[in-house]
Amino acid sequence: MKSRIPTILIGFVVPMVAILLLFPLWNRVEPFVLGFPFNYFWVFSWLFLTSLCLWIAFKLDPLNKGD
Amino acid sequence: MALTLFALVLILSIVIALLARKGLIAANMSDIMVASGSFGAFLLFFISVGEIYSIGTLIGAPGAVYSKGANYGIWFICYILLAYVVGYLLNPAIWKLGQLSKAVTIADLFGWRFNSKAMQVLVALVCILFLIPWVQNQFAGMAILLKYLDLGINFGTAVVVSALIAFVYIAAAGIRSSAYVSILKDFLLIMAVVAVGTAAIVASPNGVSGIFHSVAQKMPHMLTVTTHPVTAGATFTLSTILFQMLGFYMLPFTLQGTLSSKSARNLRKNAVLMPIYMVMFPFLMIAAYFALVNIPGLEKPDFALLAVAVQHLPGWVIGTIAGGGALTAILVMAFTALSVGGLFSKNILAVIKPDMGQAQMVRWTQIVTAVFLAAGVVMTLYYPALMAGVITVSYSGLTQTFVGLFFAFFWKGCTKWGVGAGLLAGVIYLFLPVAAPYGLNKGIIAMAINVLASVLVSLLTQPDAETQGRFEIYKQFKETAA
Repeated sequence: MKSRIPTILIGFVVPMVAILLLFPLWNRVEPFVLGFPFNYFWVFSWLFLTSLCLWIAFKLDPLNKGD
Repeated sequence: MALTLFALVLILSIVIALLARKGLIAANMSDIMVASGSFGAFLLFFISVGEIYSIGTLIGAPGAVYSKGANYGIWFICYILLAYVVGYLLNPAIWKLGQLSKAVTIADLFGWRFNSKAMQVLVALVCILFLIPWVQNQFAGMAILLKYLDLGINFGTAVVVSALIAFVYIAAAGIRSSAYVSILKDFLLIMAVVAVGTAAIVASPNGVSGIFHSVAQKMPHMLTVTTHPVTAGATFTLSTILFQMLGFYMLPFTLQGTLSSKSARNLRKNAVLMPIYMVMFPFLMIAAYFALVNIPGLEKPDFALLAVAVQHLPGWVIGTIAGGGALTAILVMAFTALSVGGLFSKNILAVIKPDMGQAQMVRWTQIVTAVFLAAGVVMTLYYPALMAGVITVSYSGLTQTFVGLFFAFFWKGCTKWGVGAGLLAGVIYLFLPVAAPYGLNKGIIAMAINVLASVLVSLLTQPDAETQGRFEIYKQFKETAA
């Protein structure tokens, strides 16, 4: 079976790092983006980016092949 | 007008619940609890959002942001978002263990994997105990909704009627009818949040930017997660995100939702879609922060979202929001009560009385569901609970089951004694009147104790041959089934 590591990297590690590890960097008001303070802009962006990461993970996931 | 729309929404939900009976083949536990694992992508999506976005989304979440700011806003959004990331990997594993054990509850998974009836009973007891605050939260939210919007309904009557409706969903076709009602509920819920958020944007001179800039000017501390060294707000927020993202799919009703999927692949696909429904959160935060600057000094912070609605939306929209909100509370009551009913009848009663048949178990599930809802009514009428913090209490206990399940997946040598001792130790710590160190979430400390006790006791004891065999069966099955 092909490796699941790319799936786990993109579908798990990337969103976790973006939200949890980078927290000290994004927990700030300035700069405002699209009217939102930076922290809210960051987490709202990750609603979509997480979905994108999971979609890529789904496509790469060897467990989804074969049915 | 508002009252008519409110009533219409609830009547429509009952019609949907009764129509869902058509799919019912035989009334056995598997059908009532997990729809015999028959849900495809469509129903799985709606049951997933249906179960988790409760009345807390409309009342408690904006209320907490109104009174405490970003510490709470960021926490709610991030823990749910990351739970979906965890779920992508976790849920197919739960589902596969469920296939092997023919599980319909979380306690069934433990009972099968550790070959132990006592384990079943222990897990069921812990789950029932910590589900009580969850259902209380729904009743309390309902109370706030009806009292504030004042549609002219007697409060006591409204509480009794909502419990009756919740029971109708369960009695009609168990999880199946609840899944169909979710379609209506989640459509109304997202419409309500978007309507109130949009009203706030329109009412603010500079739109979204105007709202957040005035918060930044008047009370900047409400916009970021405070990292003050004494109050240690950030430690609590981050540890709670980390803890609750693991507990999200351990909630007995979300786990039932997982078991209702017809395949593991279906669950992964669902995880991709889940964050998309979260687009309502920007609107929710906009409404909460709008209330903060424009409607200060609310009698209760929990009125925040409703206050924006009342000031800026016409009566018919408010009636629909009230209907959608009530439906949300009632549906989550139904999901919670069904879980309690199933756990009690299958994992406690049927263990004590092993000769119980399927029909009897189904009947007992319905009886316990009714009793649990009735108890909720009495508690709400005589001891109205507070919204904030209640969900955290539920999570603190229910998340403890993650430890045992994690070991069940990966560690052949873990024993029922170990996992049982860990669960007990964690729960006992939660009841001790001590504060967690460093301002951490108390549940995460309980979990550390749980892990420690599980490992130590497992190393000192031996799993029986059957338990080890079941680990091997699971390992094989994991690799073959997609």
